[in-house]
Amino acid sequence: MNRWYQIVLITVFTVVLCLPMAASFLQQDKEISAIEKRKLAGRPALPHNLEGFSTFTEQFEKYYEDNFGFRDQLIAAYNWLYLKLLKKSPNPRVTVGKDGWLFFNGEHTLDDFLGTRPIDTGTLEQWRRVIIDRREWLADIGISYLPVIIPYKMMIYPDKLPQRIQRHAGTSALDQFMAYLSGFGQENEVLDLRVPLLEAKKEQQVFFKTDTHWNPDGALQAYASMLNRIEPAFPAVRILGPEDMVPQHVGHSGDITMLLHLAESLSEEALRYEIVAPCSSGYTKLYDFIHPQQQFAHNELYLPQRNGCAGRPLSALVIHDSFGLFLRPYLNESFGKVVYSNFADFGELKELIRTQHPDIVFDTRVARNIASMLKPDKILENEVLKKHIAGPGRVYLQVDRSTALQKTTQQHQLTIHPHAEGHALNAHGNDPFLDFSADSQSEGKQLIAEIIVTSPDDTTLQLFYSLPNQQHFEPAKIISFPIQKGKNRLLTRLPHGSSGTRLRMDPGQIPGRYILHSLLVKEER
Amino acid sequence: MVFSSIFFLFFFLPVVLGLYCLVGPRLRNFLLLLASLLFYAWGEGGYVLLMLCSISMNYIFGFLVDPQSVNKRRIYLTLAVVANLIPLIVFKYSEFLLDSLQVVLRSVDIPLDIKSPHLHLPIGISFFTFQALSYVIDVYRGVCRPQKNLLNLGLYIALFPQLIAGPIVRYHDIARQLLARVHSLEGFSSGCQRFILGLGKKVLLANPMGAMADRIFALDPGTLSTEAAWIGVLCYSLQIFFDFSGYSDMAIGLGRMFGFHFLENFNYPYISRSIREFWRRWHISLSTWFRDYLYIPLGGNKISATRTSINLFLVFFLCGLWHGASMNFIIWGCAHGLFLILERGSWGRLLNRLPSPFRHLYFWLVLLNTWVLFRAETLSHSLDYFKAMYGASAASAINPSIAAQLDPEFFVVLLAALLFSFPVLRLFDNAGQLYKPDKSVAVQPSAYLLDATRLAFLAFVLLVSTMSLANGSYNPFIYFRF
Repeated sequence: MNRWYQIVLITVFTVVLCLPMAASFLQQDKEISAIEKRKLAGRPALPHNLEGFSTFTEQFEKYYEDNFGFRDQLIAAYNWLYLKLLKKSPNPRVTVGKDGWLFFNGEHTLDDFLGTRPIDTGTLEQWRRVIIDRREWLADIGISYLPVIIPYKMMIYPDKLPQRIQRHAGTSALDQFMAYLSGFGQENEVLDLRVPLLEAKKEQQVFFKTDTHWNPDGALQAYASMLNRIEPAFPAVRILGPEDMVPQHVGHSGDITMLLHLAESLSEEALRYEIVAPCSSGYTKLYDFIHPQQQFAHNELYLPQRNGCAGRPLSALVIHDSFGLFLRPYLNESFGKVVYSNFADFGELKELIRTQHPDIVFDTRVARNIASMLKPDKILENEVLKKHIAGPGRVYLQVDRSTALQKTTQQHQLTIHPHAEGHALNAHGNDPFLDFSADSQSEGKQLIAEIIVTSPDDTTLQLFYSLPNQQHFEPAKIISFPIQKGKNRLLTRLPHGSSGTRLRMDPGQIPGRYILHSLLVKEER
Repeated sequence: MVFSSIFFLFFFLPVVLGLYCLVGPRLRNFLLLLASLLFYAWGEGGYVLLMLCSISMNYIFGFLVDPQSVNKRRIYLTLAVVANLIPLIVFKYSEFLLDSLQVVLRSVDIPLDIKSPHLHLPIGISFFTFQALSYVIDVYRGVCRPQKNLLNLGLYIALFPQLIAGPIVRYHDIARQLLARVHSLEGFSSGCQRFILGLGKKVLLANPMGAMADRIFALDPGTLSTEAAWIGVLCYSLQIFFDFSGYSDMAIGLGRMFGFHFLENFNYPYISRSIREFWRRWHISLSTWFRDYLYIPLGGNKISATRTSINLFLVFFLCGLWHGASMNFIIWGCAHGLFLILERGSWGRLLNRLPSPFRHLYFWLVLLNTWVLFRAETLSHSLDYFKAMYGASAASAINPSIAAQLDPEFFVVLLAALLFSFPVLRLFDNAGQLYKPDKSVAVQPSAYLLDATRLAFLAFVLLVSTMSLANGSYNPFIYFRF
């Protein structure tokens, strides 16, 4: 090697390695990164003992990775190089599409689009029941309910995806769910915003190119679809029209550009709609709401907010995610009172719904998070089932004090004795169970079960069920109930189409004296 | 702490290099030892005491096995070998041995209910154990004198450039350099060049190949199409080569910066035409260690063909075990041993008569299939993966999630990785020597142009690698997280 080559190489090497360190000593540490939307790791205190040393080393590395000199510049340069030269995102959570379109892959969005995460029938049924139960629970207190599923960008603009992804588009969770609901004739239980947005897309752009979200045109379309859907039941609802707003051109750097650290260099023109003569009163935080999750309980950021136009006859409560933020300006003008919650699920808002008592609850969520939107809530389900178990419906299995349980069941690790309140089950092992045969005419029916049992201690009661064409129980076909010492009333649905042959009840997983007061299996109506 | 990390590149290395240049020659070894112990303790905490014990213990054993010392050298050698291997066996193999014992005993209806101890495996223990053993054995054989300076022996065992992932440095290769070594501009720049190339191999080639391999191997093999399975193992083959050789390059480069010359550890193994040739080119420091300290003492190939075959099989059984405590690694090692045995016989003679392309093909088939054993989590995973490779899985088309990742960039990196697995970089190294000054020609731009090109290439690799690492620290969220 020539000498000059050696000198230049050493110089370049030394400069590249030393500059970031030198800069990190000169600059101030940042606490929060607005671009990354997180707290950066802080400088850890020096350890006082050997034990603290290993924690210190880990923390110091994290701190240094978040704070070394020229970090932002290196990251931005890398992303720019990747995007410009390779037309690709170095961030696996971003797909670079055609014509400058960027797509978010995170939260399993791409997997969902490709249909690589099929949803089993049991889960689809569970989602269906969640919607039915919520609607019923709300109807019992005089409130209407509209679940709204918002498509993610890939669903509306698949044509802007790279060919290799378009080619492999599969059946998404939303596709599966809507098909499942159609099987019951219940597709209108849910407002699937794909239809209106795909229609609107023919005339105008409805999603930002560089953002995960819809643009104001898309949000307006969604808003109109939501209110048009409820209008038959609420003819007094005020739906804003083009005459109520003035478009304005604004620049927009989407959240996806922040994932690439290129917010300053990638932006797009977008329309924003200013409401002509807005009547909304402004946002008020509902300080008396206590978030059920402890981590959010004392944080103002997670409080619901109220707005609305005095004089409008109707009220609404909107459960939403970040997409809902674009709906707020329009909804504020349509309702006299509208309460927004964007950090809690339906199950966590039952009390708020009861106290605010809106005319309608809009439950909105982007399609990739449909599972979290339709998370079952045991308390709500129990309230509904309590009503149903008392209602009409053919009885397929009934056990009470008068039942000759000894004769009608097979027993394992327990003996049955008469008891004033039912049957005493003396369990002498850790796997006691009773095997019942249900009426075979229950095949194909939606059944609910109620078990009232007194337990000697905290344990788990399990109900095994077999499908019509199965003789034996499978470990996967179990419903488990944590039960407490004392009397317990348990309610459950039996998975759709599950019954017809046998049920097995394990009263607990500990030896002792259980009292089976009653067991009832009937058709749910 | 790994070489391809922000903390090492932008903090540890500049600080150590800076201090090394500032302190005088008498303190350099001490500084390096301190830095090496800190390097190890940084990731392994209290396990640095294990290293200190190894240093102290082998220091004493060095005198006890010295040919000039008293009797019972063989006993002390045996003790030294056992004492060095015990920590390795305990930390690396105890869980595997206990689990295997339980399986065997249960198969003959002897229930043994011992809970396997889930011990932390100190990083680099396989490497520094073998290094320490080579020191003691070399002293015993009279190849070198015992090191009187505890600090220097400590430096040999703990030197951070080769501590975690080799190359396994023999004491006799480095003994003189511990006492006196030359620091020169040429040496340092050669070290920089080597380090940059190693970093590029790791970050720009190994990591992307590894990402695809991980994605494919994470899928249920029953859902893998044939093409996805082959892509997965090809990517893994390239990942492991560039990861390992890249790390060795960085270690050799760092060594040169501090005046040490380590021997080469990889010599373009993927151009091999047989498994025999492969093991002359792959992880050379390990294969020569086994050759010199196990294979040759067992008789090598100086005995009957049957004994030679047994020795080969045993060596590679242990080689597999050295790589990891699981049946997969053992079978991988045994498979290589088997092919080595076959290539010594009529199969090898037939192979030598075949045209080169067929020999390369044979080698690649064996390589790829045995890498499956190396990469798969369990034996059953390997078997299912083989089924996918040979069209026996249920999948009829390539998985959509894999197809979505097969973008032009992937193919560019794949081609670059295949290209650089050939001796392209040797041309790079020797480029300056291709053109000799011709005094009859007034203008001789070629050498300078070549140097400038090399510089530009190295600068590009260094910058892009560091930018890539910086980007790895970027962890943005779509929603605020605090």
